[in-house]
Amino acid sequence: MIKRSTIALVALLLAGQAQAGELPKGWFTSGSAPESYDFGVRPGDRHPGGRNAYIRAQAQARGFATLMQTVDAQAYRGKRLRLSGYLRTHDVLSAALWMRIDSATQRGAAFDNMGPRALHGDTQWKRYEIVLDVPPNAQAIAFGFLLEGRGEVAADDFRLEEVGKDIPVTGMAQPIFPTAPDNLDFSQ
Amino acid sequence: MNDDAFDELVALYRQSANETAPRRLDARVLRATVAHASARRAWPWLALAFAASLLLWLGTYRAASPGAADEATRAYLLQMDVTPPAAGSQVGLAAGTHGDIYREMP
Repeated sequence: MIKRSTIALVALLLAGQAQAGELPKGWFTSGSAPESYDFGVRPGDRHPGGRNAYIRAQAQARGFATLMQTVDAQAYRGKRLRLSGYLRTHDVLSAALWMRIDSATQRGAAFDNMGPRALHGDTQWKRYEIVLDVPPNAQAIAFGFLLEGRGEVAADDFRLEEVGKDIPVTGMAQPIFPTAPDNLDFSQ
Repeated sequence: MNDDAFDELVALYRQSANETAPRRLDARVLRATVAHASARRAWPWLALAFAASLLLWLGTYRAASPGAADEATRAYLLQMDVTPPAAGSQVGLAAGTHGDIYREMP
């Protein structure tokens, strides 16, 4: 009886491992309900020999899940940063790139999850990007791609790079303050 | 006097005193009683059907309105802990602090 239970447990664990798939190196999972989603990498079809990461919703999936990384912001402070990557979706409620920059005192000092630009339904491989300014006191930069609700999103060729100030930012804009006080005697 | 005889006597008395309800009235009272009982039996089912419809509508509305889902996702992304698992033993994010949100973990 005990032997049979042990075999069943091992089989269950192996099945779980097979379903969960292999996470890409350097990436980790998060989200409001990552247990409702499967993650992995597989041979890709964008480049010969390449590999794609994917997030696939299980039946009755709830919340959302993301594959993400967090890096130290020190090297990017004061710069404009662009996250770009290719996404392809199949029957998704919502999928998107996202990036969040935390300062020493504020989570999400800069943030974009593509909002109205998020992907829905079926889409072919296409490059998407997010551009944010990194505050001078930034501590961490978190980014990734997410899937919400149903379907599958595949991702390929992500890049995180500094860009010039001529590239417009996306998402939450940083407030722009005057450099000096003005009209303090109300004469105007 | 046995029971039957007594019943017959009471019936005769009532008939003579016009206390006997017409058969039509009896039938109407019976129908009303049956209808009331049926309605009482139907209420739980109606309530159940209403609750199920409400749940179905809410589910459909949520599924069909990515805008609402996007808002919830955005709020979660803005607040969630982004510390990589490997770094969890060294640095963590402390929610709700007013100073430095990054602090050393034991």
